[in-house]
Amino acid sequence: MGFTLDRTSAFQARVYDQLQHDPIVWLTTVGPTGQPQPSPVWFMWDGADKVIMYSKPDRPKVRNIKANPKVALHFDSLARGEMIAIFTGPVEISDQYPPVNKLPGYAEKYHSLFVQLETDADKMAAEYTTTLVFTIEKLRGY
Amino acid sequence: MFQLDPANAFHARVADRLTKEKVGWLTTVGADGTPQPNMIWFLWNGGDKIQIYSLDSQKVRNITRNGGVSFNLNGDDEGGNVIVLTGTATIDSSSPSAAENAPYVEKYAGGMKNLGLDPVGFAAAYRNPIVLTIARLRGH
Repeated sequence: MGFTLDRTSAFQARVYDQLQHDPIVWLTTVGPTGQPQPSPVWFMWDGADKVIMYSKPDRPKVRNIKANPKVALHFDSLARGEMIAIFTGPVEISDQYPPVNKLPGYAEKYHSLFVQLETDADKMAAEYTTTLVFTIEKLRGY
Repeated sequence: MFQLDPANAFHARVADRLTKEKVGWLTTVGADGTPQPNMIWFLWNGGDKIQIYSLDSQKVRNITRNGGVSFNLNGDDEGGNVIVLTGTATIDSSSPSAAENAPYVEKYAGGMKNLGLDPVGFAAAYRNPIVLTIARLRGH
């Protein structure tokens, strides 16, 4: 049985909303010398224990993941440090998911950002060809 | 040595945010190789050092094993205003305690009050001084 959120908990109910609606999460990988490297990424949550992200294949985060698949995700907090949600677990480079322009919900979730950036999911799919699938093992925060 | 260039617009924004913002994210790496981000209070010295006081002995163990850390500020909802500092953290027993660090006490007097602590009580709890030496900045 994988990770599930308990929505009777106020904290976990809020995290559920953040996973559904927040546009950005920080993905932290660890480089070959043991140096953590956080980067903001777009993502889709599957409603259970998987978070799907897309990357250009030549990015340092992809190289880091190949060497060490243990990563963290965290959302931005509020200005005084309220609303903390940190996830840890493994990420894998996967071919089990559709490309970004075919992933259900993705184009809708990022519609306004696509418009603002004058791009779309099809153009993104041509460049962001590496699919990263994170499995939530642990959640901490408040 | 790392130094921000005030003539560079991005660097000027970094300096402004490092001075004004109250919270940042310190990520250390656990024994099993898992990165562990944590929300922290911090004091930037205007140069290449960030002073942190930690309650938590896990961060101290991680840093003692592996000083490679990252520090990021919150971004915005569009993936912008990204500020990531990487460098080396040490447990610095030569640091003043939080209570003896006047600019730190000034920055966090309100926060300490919210925790129900005075500076001496805060310093007794957050007794592990961590100094991050900034090596690199990335962002936009």
